[in-house]
Amino acid sequence: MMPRLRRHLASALFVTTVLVACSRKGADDDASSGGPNAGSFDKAGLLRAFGECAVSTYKEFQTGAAELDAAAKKAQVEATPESLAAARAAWSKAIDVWERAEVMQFGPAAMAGPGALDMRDGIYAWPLVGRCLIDGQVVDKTYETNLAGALASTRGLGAAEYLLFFEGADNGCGPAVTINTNGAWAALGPELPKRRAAYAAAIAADVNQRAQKLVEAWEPGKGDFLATLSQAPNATFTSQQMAFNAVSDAVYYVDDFVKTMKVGKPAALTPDCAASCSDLVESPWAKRSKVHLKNNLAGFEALVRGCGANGAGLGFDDLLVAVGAQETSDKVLAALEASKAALAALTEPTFEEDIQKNPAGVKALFDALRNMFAIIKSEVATVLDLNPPQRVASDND
Amino acid sequence: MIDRLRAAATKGTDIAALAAFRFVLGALVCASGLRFLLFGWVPELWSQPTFFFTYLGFGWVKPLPSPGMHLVCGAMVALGAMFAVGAFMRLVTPILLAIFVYVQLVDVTNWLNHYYLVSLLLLLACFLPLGRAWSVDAARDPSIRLATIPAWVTWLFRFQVGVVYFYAGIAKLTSDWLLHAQPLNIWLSARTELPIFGAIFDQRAAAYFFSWGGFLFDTTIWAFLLWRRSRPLAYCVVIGFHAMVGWLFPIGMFPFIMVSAVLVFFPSSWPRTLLARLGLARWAARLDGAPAEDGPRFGVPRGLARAAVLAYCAFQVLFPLRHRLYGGNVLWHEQGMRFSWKVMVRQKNGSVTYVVTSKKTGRTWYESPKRYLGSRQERELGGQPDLILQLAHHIAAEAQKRGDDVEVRAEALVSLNGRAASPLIDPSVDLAKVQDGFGKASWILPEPSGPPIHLRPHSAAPRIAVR
Repeated sequence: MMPRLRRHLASALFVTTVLVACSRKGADDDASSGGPNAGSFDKAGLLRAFGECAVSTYKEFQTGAAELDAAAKKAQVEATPESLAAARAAWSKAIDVWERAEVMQFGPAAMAGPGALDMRDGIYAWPLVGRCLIDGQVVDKTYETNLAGALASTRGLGAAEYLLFFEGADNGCGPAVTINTNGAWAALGPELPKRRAAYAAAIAADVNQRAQKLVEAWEPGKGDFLATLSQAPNATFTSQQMAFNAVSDAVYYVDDFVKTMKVGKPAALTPDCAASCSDLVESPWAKRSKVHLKNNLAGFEALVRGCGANGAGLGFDDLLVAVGAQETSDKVLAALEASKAALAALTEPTFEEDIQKNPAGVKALFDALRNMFAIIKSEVATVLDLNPPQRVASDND
Repeated sequence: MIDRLRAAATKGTDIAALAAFRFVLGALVCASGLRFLLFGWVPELWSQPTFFFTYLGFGWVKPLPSPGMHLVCGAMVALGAMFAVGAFMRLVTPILLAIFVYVQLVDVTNWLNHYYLVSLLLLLACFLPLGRAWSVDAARDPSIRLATIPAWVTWLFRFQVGVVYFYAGIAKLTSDWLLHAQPLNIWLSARTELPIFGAIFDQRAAAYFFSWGGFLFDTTIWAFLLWRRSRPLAYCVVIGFHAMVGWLFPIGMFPFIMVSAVLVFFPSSWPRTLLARLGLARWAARLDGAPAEDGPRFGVPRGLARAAVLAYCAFQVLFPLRHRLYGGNVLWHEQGMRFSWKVMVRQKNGSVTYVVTSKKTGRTWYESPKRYLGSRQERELGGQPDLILQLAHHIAAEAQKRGDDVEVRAEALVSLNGRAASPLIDPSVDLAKVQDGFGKASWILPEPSGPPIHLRPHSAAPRIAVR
C-alpha cells in the first residue's frame, strides 16, 4: 500500500510541477511579445489602477477643499456679494470633484467593508441634509464649538450648499419648533447672512481637514491603503477577488444612489414619491443636480474604462476583455454611453425643470441607468464571479 | 437471497461507530449555531429583512421577534452539545430537529444542501438508537445500553450519504459542466492569484480537470468507500477534495459535514480501533459499561419499521429526479432544484426590477427588491423564479393594504454560467395573478440557447495595450 501511495504522490507532484512550469513559460512568452507602447494586464495592476484613480481624485478634491476653505473664510470676513460668489464657485469646483469620488467608496471612504473608515459622510453626507437642524445651529452657533461632533446631516458639502446658496429669510423648521416659537430665528434679522457665512466657513475648514485625512489614509508611510489594495491578498483583503469585490461594491453607488435616489425618486419613478417630487433633487439650492449626475457617471467611467483622459488606463473593461468577455465589456460601455447620451439630452436649465417639462427624457435616463446595471448585476457579476454588495459573509453550496 | 440479505441486515454490528457519528453530528450542529451567533448573521438573516420567502405550504412559519432568533440559535448550540454527548436523546433529538428545520423554513434564501442533509440525519437520529452507547443517557440508565445494532442502521446512513454524492455527481452530467467546464472555468479564473494553485487555475485545462474530477468523484466515491480495500485511499481523497473545495469557496460547514458523514462507511468498530491506537482502549471499555442483554429494541413493529425505511429510501431516490418532469434546464427554471443535491453546479446572477402599475390611477413605478430584502436575499432572488413570484405577491399585498390595486410585472435579466443575460420571467405577465404550485410554470421563459462563456484566464490572454 505504502509504495503505491508514494507512486501516486510522486505522479501528482510531477503533474503539478509541469502545469506550473508551463504556465510560467506561457507568461514569459507573452511578455516578450509586447510592443514598446504595449502595457501588460495583470490583476494586481488593475487594483493599483483603481487605487491610484481614487488617490488622484481625492488629491484633486483636497486642492478644491483648500480653495473652498480659503474662499469661505474670505466670504465670512468680507461679507460682499463678490466674496460670496467666489465661495460658491469654490464650492462648485470642490463638489464637482467629489461627485466623481462618490463612486470610489472603497477602503477608508467606505462606510463598511475591508479597510472602511467611514470617511465619506464627514465630507458629503447626502441624502442626509437636515435643513431644520442646520438652521438650529445657525441660531445657537454650535458650529463654533462642536462642529465635528454634530450630526453628519448638519455638516459637509451638503450643508455648505444650503448655507452658501440659500438666501431666503425662512428656515426649514415647522412653526412648532423652538427656534420659531421662541423667536430666536426672527431675532437674527440682518445677522442671518453673517451666521450662514460663518457656519459655511466652519464647514469648509472641517471638510478641508477631512480631505487631508482621506488622502493620508491612502498615502505611503501613513495609512498606505493604496498598497493594501494593490497588494492583495493580505490581512485586509484575504484574496484579490475580495479586493475586486470592494471596488465593484463601490460602483453600485450608481445603481442605489444615482439611478434610484437622484433620478428615480424626484421623477416619481420609484414608490417613495408619487407626485410633485422634483424638489427631492440632489442639489436644490445650487441647482447643480445634473452636473452632479454627469460627474457621478464620470467617476463610474473612470473605474470601468480607465482613469486617464478619454478612458486611458486600466478599468473593469480591461479585465473583462482579458478573461475573454469582450461582448460583456462592449455591452457595459455601450450602456454607459447610452446613459451619458440620455443625460446630455436633458437640456432644460435645471434638473427640476427637466422633470417637469421633459418627463420622457428623464425616464429615458432612468431606463438607461437601469439597463446598465441589469448587465452589471447579471452578466458582469457572473463572468467575474463578483458578489453584489453584502453586509455580512455567509455560507454557500 | 432475500433471506441472506435479511440475515445480513439484522446481524448485530458494533454500536461504537454510530455513537461516534452522533458525537460528530452534534458537534457540527453546535458549531453551526455558534457561527450564526458569533458571525453576526442573526440580525442580517432574520431581523433586518422586512420580508421572508417561505416554502410552499409553510407560509405560516415566521421568524421570532428579537431576541427570539438569537435564543433559537443559542438553543441549537446547547441542544447540539447535548446531542453530541447523548444526553436526554429522546427529548433532545426531536427538538433539535424541529429547531434546525425551523431555521431553514423561516426563509428560503437560507437554503443550503448541507443543512438539508443535517436535517435528514437528525430525522433518522430521532428513530435510531444513537444514544444507547457512549452517552450520558447510557451512563444514567444502564438498561438502555446496547453493544450492537442491526447492520441495516449503518446501511441506512451509508445510503443517505451515498445518495448525496451520487446525485451531486448526476447533477454535473450536463454539457455546461463536462463539455464547457462551467462554472468552474469562471470560478477558477477568479482565483488565479493563489500561490502555486493559481498558476494551475490559470490554465483552461484546469477547469476541465476539476470539472471531470468533481463529476467522477461525486458519482463514484460512495462505491470506493464501500469497498474495504479502497476505503482508506478513498477517504484520503474525500478529505483532499473537501479541503480543496472548502479552501476555494465560501461553503462554511459543508466540508466538515461531508468528511464527518463519510465515517459511516468505515467498519463499525473504527472508534475502538482508533482509541486503541491512541492508547485509550480503556476509555472505550469504561464508556461501554455492561450492555443490556436483550439486544436492539426500537419500540415499533418490525414490519412498520421496514416499510418506513423503504418508503424513506424510495423518497430519497425519486424526489431528486422530479425536475425531469418539468423538462428544460433545471439550472435555468429552478423547478425541482431544491432537495435534489444540485450542489455548486451553476454560476447565476440576475437583476430584478418590479414594474408596478396602479389599476386605480394608472401610475407606473419601479420597485427594487432591495426595498424589502437583505443583501443575501436579494442575491438569491436574482436567479430563482419562485422567489421573484413571492416578492411580487408581497408587493401587491402591500399595495392592497394602502388601498391600491396593482399589477406587478418583473423585469428579470439573468446570466447562467456567463451566457449573455436573458429575461427569466415573461415581462408581460401580471405576477400578482399567478399562483405558485408544483405545475410547470408558464411564466418562466425558456433558457437561452447556445453554450456558456469560455473564459481564458487572464495571463493566457493577449496583452492589452494600455490606452
